[in-house]
Amino acid sequence: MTINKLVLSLSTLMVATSSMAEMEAIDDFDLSEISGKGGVYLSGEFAINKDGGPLWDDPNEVSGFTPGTRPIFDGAGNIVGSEECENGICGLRLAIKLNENSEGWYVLDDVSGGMSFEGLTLQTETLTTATNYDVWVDGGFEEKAVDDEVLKIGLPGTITFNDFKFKFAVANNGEFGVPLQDGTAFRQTEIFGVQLDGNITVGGNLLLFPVD
Amino acid sequence: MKNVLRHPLTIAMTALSLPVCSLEAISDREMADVSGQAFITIDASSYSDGTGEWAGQYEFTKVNLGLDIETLMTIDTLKVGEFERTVGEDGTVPMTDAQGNPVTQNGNLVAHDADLIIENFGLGRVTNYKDAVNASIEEFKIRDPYIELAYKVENGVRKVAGVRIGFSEAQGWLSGDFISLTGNLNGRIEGPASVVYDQNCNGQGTASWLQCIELGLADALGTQLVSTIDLVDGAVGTAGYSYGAGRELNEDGELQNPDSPYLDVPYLKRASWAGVPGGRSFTAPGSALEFIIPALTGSEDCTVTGTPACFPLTNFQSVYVGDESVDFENGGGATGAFVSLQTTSVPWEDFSGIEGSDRVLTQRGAFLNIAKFDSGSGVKYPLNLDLFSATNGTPRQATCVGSLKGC
Amino acid sequence: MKILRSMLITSMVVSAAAFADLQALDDSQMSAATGEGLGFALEDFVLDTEGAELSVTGIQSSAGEEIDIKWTSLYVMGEGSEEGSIRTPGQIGSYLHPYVIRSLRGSGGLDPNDPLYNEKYGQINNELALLELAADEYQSDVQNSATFATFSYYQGCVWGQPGCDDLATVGSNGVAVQAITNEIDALNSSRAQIVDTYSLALGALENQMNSYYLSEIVPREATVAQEQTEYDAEVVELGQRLTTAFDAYEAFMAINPGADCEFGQDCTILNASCPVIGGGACRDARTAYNNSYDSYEEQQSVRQDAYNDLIEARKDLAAANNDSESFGPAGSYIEAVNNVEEFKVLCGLDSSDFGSCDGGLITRKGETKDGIESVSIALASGVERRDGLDVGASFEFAVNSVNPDGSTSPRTDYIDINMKGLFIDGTAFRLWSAPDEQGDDELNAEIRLNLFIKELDISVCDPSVCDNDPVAKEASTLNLDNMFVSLNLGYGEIQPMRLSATSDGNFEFELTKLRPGDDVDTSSQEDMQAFYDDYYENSPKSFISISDVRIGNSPDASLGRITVDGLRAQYLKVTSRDL
Repeated sequence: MTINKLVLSLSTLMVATSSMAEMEAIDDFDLSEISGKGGVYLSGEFAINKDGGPLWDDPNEVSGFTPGTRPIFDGAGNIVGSEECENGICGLRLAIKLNENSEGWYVLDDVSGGMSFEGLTLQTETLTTATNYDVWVDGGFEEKAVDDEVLKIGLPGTITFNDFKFKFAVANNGEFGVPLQDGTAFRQTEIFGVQLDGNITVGGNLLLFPVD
Repeated sequence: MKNVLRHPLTIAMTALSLPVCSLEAISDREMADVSGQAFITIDASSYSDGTGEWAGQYEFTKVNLGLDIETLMTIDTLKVGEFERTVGEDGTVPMTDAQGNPVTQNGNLVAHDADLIIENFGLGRVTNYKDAVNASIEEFKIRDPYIELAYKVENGVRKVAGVRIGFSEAQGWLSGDFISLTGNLNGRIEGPASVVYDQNCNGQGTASWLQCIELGLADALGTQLVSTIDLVDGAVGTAGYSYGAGRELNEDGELQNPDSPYLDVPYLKRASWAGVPGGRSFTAPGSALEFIIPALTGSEDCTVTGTPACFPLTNFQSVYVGDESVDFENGGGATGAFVSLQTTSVPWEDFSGIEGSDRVLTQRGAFLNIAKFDSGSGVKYPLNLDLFSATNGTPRQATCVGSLKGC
Repeated sequence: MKILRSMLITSMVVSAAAFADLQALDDSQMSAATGEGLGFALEDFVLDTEGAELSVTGIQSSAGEEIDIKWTSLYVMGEGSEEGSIRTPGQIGSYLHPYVIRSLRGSGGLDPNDPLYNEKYGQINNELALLELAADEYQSDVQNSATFATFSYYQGCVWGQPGCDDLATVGSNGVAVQAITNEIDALNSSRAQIVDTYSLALGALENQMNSYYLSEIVPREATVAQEQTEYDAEVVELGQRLTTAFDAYEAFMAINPGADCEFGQDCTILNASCPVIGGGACRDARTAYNNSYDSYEEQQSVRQDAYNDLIEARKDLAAANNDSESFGPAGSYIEAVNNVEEFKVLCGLDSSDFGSCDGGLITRKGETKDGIESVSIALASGVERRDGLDVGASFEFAVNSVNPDGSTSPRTDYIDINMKGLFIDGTAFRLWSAPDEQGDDELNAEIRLNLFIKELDISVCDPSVCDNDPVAKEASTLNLDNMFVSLNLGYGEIQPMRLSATSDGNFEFELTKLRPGDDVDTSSQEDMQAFYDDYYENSPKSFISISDVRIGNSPDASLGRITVDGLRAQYLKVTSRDL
C-alpha cells in the first residue's frame, strides 16, 4: 500500500495546558485571554513518502516522476526534475518555520529507517519519600516524606536502530522542490546528517508528574 | 487532494487544518538547488619544515565556520595564560609602573601574572555616546571564524600542542586597557620631520645643532618619517630596556642592537609597552634625505632625537582593526588575526596575506596576533599613529551609552 | 608635558585593575505562583552507544570532499563511570528537583508585590505567554552549581578531588573567602581614593564637569574636526597633484626620450633641450611638467601647514583635557571623567552622591561573597555535593592532510571527549512569540545556560596505541579543569534572541539591539539614559572560566587559568554563509 503524502500545517499552537494536572484556578488566568495574544507560533509541514512523489496521485501515473526520487516542480506545478533518494528510499521530511515573515525553514529531512525496542514499562507509582538535596542531615541528604503519584516509564534497556538516519538542513520552502510564490527556485542547504545502526543501551526510569 | 484521507495517519491528524498548496508562482528560470555545501568545513594539514624548536612533525585540523558576525561586545576582564613566568626567560619582560620603573618583589623583578590581561575589552563602538536618544552602534565585523588544533607527533604518539581561534577577516574598533600582552601588535608611526624638529630644536630637547639643521632641511622638504612599532621592554634601568624582540639590522645587514637580551626571542612575553625598539630607525621613504634620517632617528633608550619612542600600552585605548577607508565587503577587514594557546612551540600557518610570510612561530603560553596584513591593497597596520598620538595615546572609543566603558 | 599626559591616563588604569566580576547567577528564588507545568526526571539513567555504529555525514573539507566521520561512542552516565567504562547510573533531575516544561505568563508590568510576580520573567510582558524548559534547581548554595562554581574559582580547585579536600582551607575564613574579600577590599580602596580626591559632592562635581566640557572641550573638538577635514583635503589634493605631475613627466618623456632630467628635477634647456624648430609641443610639455611639479611642491608646504594647524589644535584639546589649573575641582577634566566613571562602575550607574554605594560592582561582589561564604561554611561542616553526570563522545575523522609541498596524504584523526562531573542545574530556555517591528509574530527566546564541568578531557591519540599506554594517552590529552560557563543570552522583551532562516538556506541568529518598551519616552534624554542604565545594571552578563588548562603531563604542562569575566553583547548577529 502506498503511503500517501500527508500535509498538515499547525497554526498557533496552544502551549498552555497539561491535561494531567488538576487545573488550579489562578486568579486572572484565563485561556481565552491568552489566545490570539501570544503562544508560540509554529508553522509546519510533515511528509512521509517512501516512494517519493506527489501524494494525491498514483506515482506511476504522474508525468515526469520516477519513484524513488523527490520531484522538483516549476511554478505551474509541473515536475521538471528530481532529486534521487538514497537507495531509492525517500524519508520523512519535517519542516518548521519559526516566524511569520521569515523566509527560511528549519528542516529535519530524509528521516528513515527503523527503530525498535522491547520492554518499555509504563506504570503509576506512589512515591513515599524523595531526596531533598537542599538539606543535609546526619551525613546524607534528607529523605523527605511525600505522598504523590508519578508516572514511571521504565526505559527498555536496549533500543535497536536499523539503518536509521536523518539530516538537518535549512531550506527556503516547506515542501521539497516547490519554488516560492515569487518564482525563486527551491533551495535547501544540508548542514549535517546522522546515521545510526545497531543496539543502544538506554537504562533507567523516566518519571513524569505535574508541577506548579 | 481527493485521496488525502485514505491513509489512517491522516485521520488522526484531521483535527488540524490543511493548507492549500499554492503553486501559482511565476515561472522560474533558476534551477532548484539542494546542496551539501554548508557552513562547516574541516581541513587537515601538516608541517615539518621548521627549524630549531619548531622542527618536527606537526599536524593541524582546522574547523572553518562560514559565519558573518556583527557585534558590539564587551568583556570586563579577559585573562588568558595565568601561570608563573620568570623575568628574563623566554623574553619575559618585567612589570613596570606608568613611568617605566620596574616593580620588584623581595628585590626581584616580577612579570605580570598572565600572558594576556585586557580589561574593559570591547569590540565595536557606540557613536554619540553622550546622547542617549541618538546614540547608535557601529558594529565590529567578523567573517569566517575558525578553530584550529595543532598536534605534535613524537615517537608515533600524537599530542595536542596548541589550539587557536582566529578570524579570516575582521574589521572595526577594538578597545581595551591592555595591561599585559604576549604576541604581535604591529603598528606604524608616521609624522613630518617638523614634529621631531619642534620637540627637539628651538631651545628644547636634546638634538644637536647639526641634527637640527638637518631636521630643518627635512622639514622644509616636507619629509614624512615612518617607522614601525612593536612590543618593547619598557622597564627603565634593566638589561632589556627599550629593546624589542629579534634583531634590528640596517641596510648593510649589521646588527644595530647587539646589547639586546632578546635577540633570539621570537616575541616578548607579558609586555606592557610598545614603541620603536632600540636599534630601529625612522625612515623617510622616497625623500632626498633618505640616507640621513635613519642616522638621525635611531631609537636608543626609548627616545628618538629627544622624542620618546616607547609608550605604555594603556595609552592605546582603542585600535582600528582593518582598513578604515575600505568597506568590509571590499576587503577592508584585517586578515590573520588570532588568539592561541600552546604548551610547546607551534608554527601556525600565517593567514595575514603578507607576501613571503610563512608561519607564525609561537612558544609555550598564550599568543595574541594583531599583526600587519595585506588584504590585496598593500601592507596595512592595525595600529596607525602619528607622532603626536603616539605620545598622547589614542582615546578610548565608547562602548556604552552614557560612558566610555564600564557598563 | 608628555610624561604627565601618559601618567594620568595610566593612573586610573592602576585602580581599575580590580574590575574582575565573577557574578554568580542568583535566580534561586522559587516562584510564588507560576503556570502549569510538567516535571520530569530520569533516575538511574544510562545511555551508551557501544555496540551501535553511528556516523556523521555532510561535513566537507574546503576542497569539497566529504569527510568520513565515525561517531565511535556516546555515553551519558553517572559521575564515576571512569570514562564510560563502568555503567554508573546517573540522576538527571529528581522528584523534588525536576526538569520542568511549563507555560506561564510573563511578569512584566506587574507590581513586584503581586503574588504572581516572578523576577525571572520580569522582562517579558504579562500579556505574553511563554514556554519554559528548565533544568533542575537547588536552593542550597553547595548544590547550586553556579554558586559552587564561583566558590571553586576562588578556591582554585574542585572540592572533593585529591589535593582539594583539606578542611582547613574552607570555613568562614577559607581560601576562597579570603580571595574574594581581598578583591572587595581592593575595590573599596579604589572607591575611597576617588572619594578622597574631591571635596565637593558628586552632583556638584558633575555639574562643573559638564559646564567645563561645554565651554572648553566641545569648541576645541570642533576645531580639531575642522582642521582634520582640511588636512585630509590637502592630502588628497597633494596626491592628485603628484599624479598630474607624474603624468606630465611621462608625457614629456614620451615626446623627448633623450631628456636627462629625472622626475622631481627641473627640466630645463640645459638638460632637456627641445628642437628649435618644431619643438613647440616638446617645450609645452616640458613647461607643463615643470609647472605641475612646482604646483605639487607648493601643495607639500600647504599640506605641511595644514598638518601643523591640526597638531596645534590637537595639542590645544589635549591641554584642555589635561590641565588641572583651569579645571575647578582637584585634578584635570579627563581625570575627573575617569574617576566619576569608575565610581559609578563601583557603586552603581545611578549613583547620586559619593556617600552611597548601593549598586554596582562592590554590591555585586558582596553578594558573590555571601554565596562563597555560605558554600565554604557548609563544606567545612561536612556537606557533600551530589554527583553529576559523566558525558563523553568520540569521533574518528578520515581526512586528507595537505602537506607543505601541496600533496595530500590520507590521515585518520581521533578525538575523544570525556566530561567528568557535569552539571547544568539552573539552566533555562524561554520561548515566546511577540509581534516584531513589522507586526508579524516572531519567535523570541532567552537562554540562561549554566554549565559546570569538573574535568573536561580531550584526547587525540589513536586508541589502538593509547588504550594500552596510559602514559602516552595522558601526554596527548588536553585537560580543562573546573570549567564554568554561564551564558546569558537575551533579556526579555528588551533584548530578545531571535532565530530565523534566510531564503537562501542559511540560518541567522540575532541578539537584537535594545528595544525600549512603550513606557520609555524615546525622545527624552533622561528616559533613554535611565533605560540604558537599567539594562547595564540588571541584565545578566556571561562568564567563562577554566581553572587550569593542561596539555599533556610534562612539568610545565599547565597553562594556568583562563577567565572571561563579564561578557555581554549589546548586539550580536550571526548569519551563516556557504564556505
